[in-house]
Amino acid sequence: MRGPCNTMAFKQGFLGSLLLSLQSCKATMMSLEERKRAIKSSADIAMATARGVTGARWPRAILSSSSSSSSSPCKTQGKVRRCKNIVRRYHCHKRRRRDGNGTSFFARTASSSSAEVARRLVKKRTRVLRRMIPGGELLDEISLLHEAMDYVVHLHAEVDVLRRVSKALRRRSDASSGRSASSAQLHEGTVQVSGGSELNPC
Amino acid sequence: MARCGGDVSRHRKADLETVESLCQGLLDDVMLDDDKCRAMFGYLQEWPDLASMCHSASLLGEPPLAPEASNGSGSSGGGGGFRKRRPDSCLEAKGKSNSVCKRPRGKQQPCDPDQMAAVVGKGKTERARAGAKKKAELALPKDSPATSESTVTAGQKTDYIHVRARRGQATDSHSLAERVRRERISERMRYLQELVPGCNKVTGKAGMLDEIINYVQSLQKQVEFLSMKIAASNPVVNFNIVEDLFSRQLSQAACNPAALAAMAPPIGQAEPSCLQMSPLQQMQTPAGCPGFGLEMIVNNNLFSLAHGGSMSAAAAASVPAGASVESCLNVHGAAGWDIGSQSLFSGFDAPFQSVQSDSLLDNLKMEM
Repeated sequence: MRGPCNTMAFKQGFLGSLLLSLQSCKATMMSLEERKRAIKSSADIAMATARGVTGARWPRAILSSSSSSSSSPCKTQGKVRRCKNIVRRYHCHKRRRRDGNGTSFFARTASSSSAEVARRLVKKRTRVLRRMIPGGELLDEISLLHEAMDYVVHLHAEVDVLRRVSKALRRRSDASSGRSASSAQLHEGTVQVSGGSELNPC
Repeated sequence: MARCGGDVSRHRKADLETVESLCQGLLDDVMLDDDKCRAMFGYLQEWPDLASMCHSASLLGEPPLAPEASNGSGSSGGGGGFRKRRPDSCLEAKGKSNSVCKRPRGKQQPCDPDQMAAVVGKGKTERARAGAKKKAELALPKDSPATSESTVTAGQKTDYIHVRARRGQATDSHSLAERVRRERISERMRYLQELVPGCNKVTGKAGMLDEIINYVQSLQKQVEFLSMKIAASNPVVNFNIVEDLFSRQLSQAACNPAALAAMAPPIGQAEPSCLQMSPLQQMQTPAGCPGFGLEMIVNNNLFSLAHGGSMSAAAAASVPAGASVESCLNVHGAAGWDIGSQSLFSGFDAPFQSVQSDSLLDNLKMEM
């Protein structure tokens, strides 16, 4: 089975891509916010690259959005948004038509029916899920769930790798700060960050 | 980054521990804590086939039917047997000697002694068919109480999905399509339930969607938080993490130019192999493993070559002990590093999951 090899291969690829993309960042003085944003975007791009564009839609969506943001943002984004609206309207119309033919015709008129409430909840949450998964606006429900599964698996691996990297860096910076007085500030910085991190299950 | 021998070795060992643990974690722990992920990766690879396999395994007499179904659908007219067209083909096929339709085939089956297991299901089918004759022409005979979705064998791809209608339910194509869609959605919901922790107690689409949304949101927030942590603990202008972690090894191995010309694997592969191999090799060299030493030197030299020459590595080695990471970086010419990293990055377009790196890892594991 390709299961274990895939996870490890993905993690390796992700780690390599992450380090390379971080290295190719511009060597300018950046604030913490900018640095965090750079790391996060490079992590996303690395994850999309390591996943490859086969079998899932979200890597392509991430890569296209990142490339469009770097070059000619206005035109392409407008076009993309218009396409998304068209597709979304088509999907909504198709679904509404199908629902009308099915058995839910009478349930719609009763506003307080539990099934109707449940359906509305499901629709709302599907909309939220669409927004969260990159490239999910254009998918129908079935592929959306498939994409969500794929995305969750790879996000999990990404979080794992990032956690290890941050742990290794912190240990290294702690080790080096024990020797030099100038990196006392660095140590305090890491301590503060690690104090904040205790809230999260890291 | 002290120059004294003892300090260097201590420093190096501390670094090596962290890097080695990181890479070891990547190599080993993935097996322990990624059972679910492994399963999910496997599912994702085999998704289109999994549905048919699951359903075929759980139904009575389904496997013997499946090849016949594929035969029937294949020969019943261009493009397979869609439900709506099936009655026409069935009626035509009745008169013909070759029974391409499923229904006559289903009738013949109970007579077959080999398929006694299917008799029970077939008995129900006969009764259902007798009860709703007209509708049975539209729907295919059922095999089991549950609605099934029997696709053709994994090798073929059809445009049509063959569905069995439940007894006493509407059998027009729209509701059947609805049922198919609902089946697929619920199937994927089940897989997602296994994947998302804490989803076992919740049933129903809305609750599970809620859990999935929460989980994805929490994962994304974790990514943000970890990137903030990395940014905070790495107050450098240029994110040369790898250089930080491996700079000492570079300085050690900087003086072996002969090995540079010997090996020439693609530069894009030097990166992951360095990550996994060099710290482990460093652990091995005190124990005296000669083959590894050569590989380590070669890899590190490739690394320094990609990064613009061993001169800069030597310069890094000469930085005094009290210097922090920034000064180490400032020593190097920015242009050289950029060129080096760009070349690495361009060479990176080659796919990473290459056979070579995997075989190197296998060798490593065997050695250890």
